[in-house]
Amino acid sequence: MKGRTRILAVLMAAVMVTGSLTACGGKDSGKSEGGKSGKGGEQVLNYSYNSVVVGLNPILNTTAPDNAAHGMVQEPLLRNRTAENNTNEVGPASAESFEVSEDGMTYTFKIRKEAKWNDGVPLTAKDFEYTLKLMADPAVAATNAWLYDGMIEGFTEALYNGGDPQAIGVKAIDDSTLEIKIIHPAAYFPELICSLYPVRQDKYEEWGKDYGVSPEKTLYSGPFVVESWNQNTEMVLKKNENFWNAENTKLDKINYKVIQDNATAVQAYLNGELDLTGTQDDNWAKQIEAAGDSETFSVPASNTEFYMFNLGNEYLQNTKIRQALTIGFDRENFVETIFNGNAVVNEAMIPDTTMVGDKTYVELVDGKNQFVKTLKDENPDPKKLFEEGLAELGKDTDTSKVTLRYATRGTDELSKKIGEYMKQSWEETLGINIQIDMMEWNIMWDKIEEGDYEIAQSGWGPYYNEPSGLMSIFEPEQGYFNANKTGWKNDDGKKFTELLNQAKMETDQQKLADIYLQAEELLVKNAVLSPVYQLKSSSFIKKYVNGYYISTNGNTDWSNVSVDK
Amino acid sequence: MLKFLGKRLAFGILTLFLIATATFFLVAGAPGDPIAAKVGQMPEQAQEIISAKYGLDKPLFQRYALYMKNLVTKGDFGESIIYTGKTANDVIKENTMVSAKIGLIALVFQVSIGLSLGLVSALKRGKAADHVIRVLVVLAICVPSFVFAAVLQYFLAFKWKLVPVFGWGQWTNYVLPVAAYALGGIASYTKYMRSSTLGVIGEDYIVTAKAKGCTSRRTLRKHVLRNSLIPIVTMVGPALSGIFAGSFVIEKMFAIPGLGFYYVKAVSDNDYTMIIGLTIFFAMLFVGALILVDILYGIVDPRIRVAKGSK
Repeated sequence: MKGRTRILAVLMAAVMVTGSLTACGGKDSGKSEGGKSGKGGEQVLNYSYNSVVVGLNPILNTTAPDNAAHGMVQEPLLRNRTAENNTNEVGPASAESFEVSEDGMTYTFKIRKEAKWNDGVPLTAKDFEYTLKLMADPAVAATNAWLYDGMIEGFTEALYNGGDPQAIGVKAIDDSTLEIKIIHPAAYFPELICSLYPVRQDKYEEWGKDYGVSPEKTLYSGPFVVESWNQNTEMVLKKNENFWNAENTKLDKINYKVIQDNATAVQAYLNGELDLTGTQDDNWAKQIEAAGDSETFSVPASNTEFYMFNLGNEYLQNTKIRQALTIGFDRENFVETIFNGNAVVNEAMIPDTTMVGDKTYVELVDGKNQFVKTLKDENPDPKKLFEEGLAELGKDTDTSKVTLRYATRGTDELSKKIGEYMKQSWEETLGINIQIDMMEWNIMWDKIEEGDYEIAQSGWGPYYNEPSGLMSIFEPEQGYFNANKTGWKNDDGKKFTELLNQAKMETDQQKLADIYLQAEELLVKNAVLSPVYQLKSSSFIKKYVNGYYISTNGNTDWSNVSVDK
Repeated sequence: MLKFLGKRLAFGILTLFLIATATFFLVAGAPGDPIAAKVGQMPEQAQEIISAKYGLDKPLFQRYALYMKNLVTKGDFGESIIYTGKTANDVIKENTMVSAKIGLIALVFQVSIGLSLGLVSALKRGKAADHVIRVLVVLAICVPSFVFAAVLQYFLAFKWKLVPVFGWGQWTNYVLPVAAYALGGIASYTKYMRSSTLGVIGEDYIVTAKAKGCTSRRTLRKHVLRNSLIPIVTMVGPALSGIFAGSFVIEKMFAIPGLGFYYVKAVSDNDYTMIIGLTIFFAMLFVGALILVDILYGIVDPRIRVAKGSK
């Protein structure tokens, strides 16, 4: 899946302090020794990513590398930043503070007076109003617009039903006050708005189609501006002197390299040409650790991986059969065999790091959401469960007469390995036959869309860190995996929709978590899907890079990163 | 000659038109969706809005007509679906020369080293030098360029730190990709030159030349070399057009801003404006190169010129 590679890419992003002093134009006297950092020496960070930045227009370009670049050059209202110990926090950015009304449906942001664009023009509430209204216009086709569908007042009408984009619930009361009305209380709204990077009306209209295509025709509100850009190899960013927090921004320059080949990135890192890298390859990882000048971060990705069952299938319509498939393989062994332990076993749909308000969901439901474990405890013999399922369907209980098709998510080595592993496991444990259909990932999505699959490997990276970010994709009416794709048309599905609607109006943290628990039970315990794993990514950062953290969600706070060589 | 050229040109244009049409329908018929590749997973309704913006909701023939109209009247390959605001024309302008520089330098090495080795090998047939060259040639042909590139990268850049591991802009950045790119070609040219030379050496006119008292140096230059180069010309033409395309694998390995990346990525993304644009561009180069080869033939081999003229 695309999403997975993107998130992986984020984590594998490499920072490198440029061959440090040598690259600083010889300002430093101690350059040959590379020992002490000269005060007044330029701080240069060499960062790398494994895929290209598609464009700098934050409204139209929203792939993961784009988002990483936008995070460097634009200043949203709030920032979802990674902090010490690789945790997340949503904190003030161009808005110095915000207030929420009592019913939780009106947000008022106070924009900093000193916030500016790189050309010195003040960054105001009007810019954010303009940006959101632009996104609500279907003719603009903003790639992230759908995030605000069913969230901001009037947005759905404007985007999908011919309503007036100017009439959405966003208003700049004055230059420094922005009011946003949403249609149901959602504690995660501040996090959602963190991906809203502004554009400015005058230049957006003047440059039109060219906005964000070249560095000259882009406006910057964040800590850095783009100095030069060669799309498939390098973007050079330098400090934005007009940034409101320029004083505290430590780096002078970021060399953002595009390196698609992991071995190249690792060798460059080891040679001191890069300062941050990631790898899945154990041999390289050992070499890096042996060098002793790096810190290692190992963090699970936010994407969860699961198997989808097509409930329209003659066998898979039965809950027990799906449950048997869910528990019909050993997840620990799976993760060990396929990923050398570089992944986390998932026995729940919702990852443990997911928040409800200021607490984790798992904590609030007291770990009761580990439904795969519950299933295993209740059914020691998966094969028996499968046979019971066959009996319920009035079919022959000989499992060897059952053949199920398994769609891989790509034709690469990994997909092959996973497919073979699952075939072997399910055939051994359940006595059934699995037929592997190898296909490219985009073809797999087509097949899912047409309902032409039985079991498919799938995954999803949520756009905000709250249970509904993952659950809503399975909502049978409007979710990405709606009932046409999953075949989930039974009463459980209707109940699931009801629960999610109920959750939208709930403001109490504990009650909200309990609703999600019920919903997750329908999804996982009744085995509409089978959660499997979350990838873990090892990143290595040179010790002289400070203030750079990696977390499952969230962006780096670039103004905090420094190179202290 | 002019008539001949005109005819070739007309056929070339027809070929290009057919290629453009075939590519358009092949890409349109291929499974997968550029919008999905662009935005990843998002609700259907939201995807439809984006599809509509790129005109993908229109009937196929209408899209084809529009595409051809822009192509013929404006020479416009159209805006990429993935790279917002960029056209295939932009990408060709920005990246072709990078690929071409590496390719051209590599080609010079390929031809000069390859032809010399081939000639030596043929003249010293059966001697030690011939054996060594032949073994090396087999080896070089068998080793894929990316393996050779990885080995070079590991030793020259990583272990011995003679050149940077990756990058673009300094002359040191050329060393690894050029070497990796050239190796296979050197081997092929050596092989072809050897067999071609051997073929010529056995011809009666060489015996005649020797018999009439030609020095061996003169025989080599005037008779052997000239004749054994004819098949090589056939190879160099298309190779010349190939250098613009670059090598995806090598460009990826050394992070070089060439054209290869866009071409391969466009195909996996179903980015049809980009695929067709680049395909036509390469087809143009290829067709052009073939015409060039035809002309060169005439120069190298008078027999062909005569044959054409007598028609």
